[in-house]
Amino acid sequence: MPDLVLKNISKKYGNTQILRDINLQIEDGEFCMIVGPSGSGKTTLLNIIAGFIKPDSGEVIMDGNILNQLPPRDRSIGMVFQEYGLFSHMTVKRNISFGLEIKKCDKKDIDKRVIEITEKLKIRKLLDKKPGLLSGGEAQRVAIGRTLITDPLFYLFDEPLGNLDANLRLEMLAEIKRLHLNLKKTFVYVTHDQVQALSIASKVVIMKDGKVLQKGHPRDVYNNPGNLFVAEFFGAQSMNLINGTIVSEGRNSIFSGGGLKVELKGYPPPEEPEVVLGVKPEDVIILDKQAGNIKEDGVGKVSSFEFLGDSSLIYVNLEQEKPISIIAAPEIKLDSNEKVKIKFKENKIFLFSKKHGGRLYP
Amino acid sequence: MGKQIKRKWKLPIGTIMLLPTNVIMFFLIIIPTILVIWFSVINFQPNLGLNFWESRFIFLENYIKIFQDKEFIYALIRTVGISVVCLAIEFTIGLLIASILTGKIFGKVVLFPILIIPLMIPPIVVGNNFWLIFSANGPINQIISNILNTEFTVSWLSHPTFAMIPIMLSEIWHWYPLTFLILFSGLANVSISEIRAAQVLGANEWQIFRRIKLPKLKGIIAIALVIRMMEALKVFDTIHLLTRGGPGTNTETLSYYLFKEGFQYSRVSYISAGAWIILFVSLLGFSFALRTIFIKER
Repeated sequence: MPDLVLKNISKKYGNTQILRDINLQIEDGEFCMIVGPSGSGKTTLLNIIAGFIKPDSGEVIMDGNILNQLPPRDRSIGMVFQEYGLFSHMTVKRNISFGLEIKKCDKKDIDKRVIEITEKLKIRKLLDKKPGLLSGGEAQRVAIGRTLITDPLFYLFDEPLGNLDANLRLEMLAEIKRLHLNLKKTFVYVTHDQVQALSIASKVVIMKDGKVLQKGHPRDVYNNPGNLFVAEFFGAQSMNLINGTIVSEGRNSIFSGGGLKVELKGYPPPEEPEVVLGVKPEDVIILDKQAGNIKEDGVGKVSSFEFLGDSSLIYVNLEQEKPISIIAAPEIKLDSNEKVKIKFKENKIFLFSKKHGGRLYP
Repeated sequence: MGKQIKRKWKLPIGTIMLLPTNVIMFFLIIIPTILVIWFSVINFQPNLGLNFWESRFIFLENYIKIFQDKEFIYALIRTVGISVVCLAIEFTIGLLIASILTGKIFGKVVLFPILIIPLMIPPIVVGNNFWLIFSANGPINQIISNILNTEFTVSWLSHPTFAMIPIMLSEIWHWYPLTFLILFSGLANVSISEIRAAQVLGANEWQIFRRIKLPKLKGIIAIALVIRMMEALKVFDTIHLLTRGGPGTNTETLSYYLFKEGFQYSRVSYISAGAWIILFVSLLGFSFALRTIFIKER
């Protein structure tokens, strides 16, 4: 099985450490998304996989072979670049056929493959155009078609949708997903847009400052963020984070901060009392006026109310700077400045250390 | 908002500012051009004692005579020959160094200025240096003598065919940095993702050069060619310093021929016709070279 293993990869540019001891295993046929803010080293990592950059230490292993000394052209990879990288002096047809032409394949076979691929990507009518005349979406399709022709084992994408507008981005994303389903090859996809990762990846790798913070299926990463950065970064709506302190009360602990008092049952207080509480917008409940006997975690005023169709996005002001965002059922109707009682779902609360960002609870 | 004040008469500031330059250019270019046309169709030789307005009108006789002049034809062939050989070698060297220097090379910062030093040296110094190097008991003969272990005393500069070698070498040495610089800037502008894309698709260094970089350099090569051709066609100083066109007329180029006929034999009308022929020939050459660029633009 051709899988991709990165072992203890480190890279330094001058005095800046770009990558610190990266270990990663990408299984055969996986759609792996490397996500992180700019400067996290994700593109450098991709360039190391492709072979454009040599790591200072560590190994790139593909299909059981160590590739460190192998130049990019011998690695059986296809790569799609953010700025397309189309050969501007060649027509679309020659761009796509380039990979076979330099291998001196039979001309008839090349033509057949080109037609096959352009049909698949719906760019048949562009064949005689020069890349300068293509729109962003068309150019990216041509770039994808160009990598398809050599039928590589691994496909690398370096922010391929970064230069496209929002609608086109969704369309192309679906296209890439479809491509992955058809080809059943390993895809490694670098992006800073975590929403993309959430929707189509089978594995996400979250990077920051040259380190892998968390990896796994997007569902697991979303439901189970390992630290403060992942909690804030990953997901369409970022997690509500509230600074506060924690004190013990019998066998339980009480978190207080930002106008909230949250009871954490059966949790002994940590050594450091300064913590950050995190809760996802969909895990905040607005208590009905009738439900009198449930104890609320806090009371606040509605600062804004957005009806989204299938749900509503509500912001509630408490004592803290940032309002708490809540995703609620569409039936709920609230006015601005209305006083509401909110409660967090008990098993959906996270506690992170304020000092190092690590997760403390659960 | 105030209304724009409309003046009946506007001061043509642009025209006024350009006027002095235009006046100077008129006297430096337009009048001499007209004079050269006139000179080329009369029989004007200052040493005959006649002023040019008194000289006889002979229409195309100068043009016919110059085409029958073997020295002129040989000078023309020689000039074209020197240009073609020098340009070919300069481009090969320039392209080679440029492609080496676009890669990762140790000591690039030092190497780069060293390589373009020849451009900064005045032609008279280049000529004198090559004259010293190739003189009968100069270093070249010394080195060859040492290698062959016998006395080697070819006088390069007065040899009927070998005299071309020092001339061409000095031209190449003096001007390869120009082609190198121009091609380097062209190569440096080829986008990195195109090169990487080609690498990933399996192209080796030669294929990338041949199929990606070189086609992109087409326009810039044409420009470099035109600039260098202009220099090569008027090659004069090195020849004057090295051989004075000799032995005999064996290393005479067009510019040297015209200089000799015009300023030493005072055949002003005759060389005016020659100058027009050269202008015409070089215009043809340049428009041909530049066509590649303009066709691309369309």
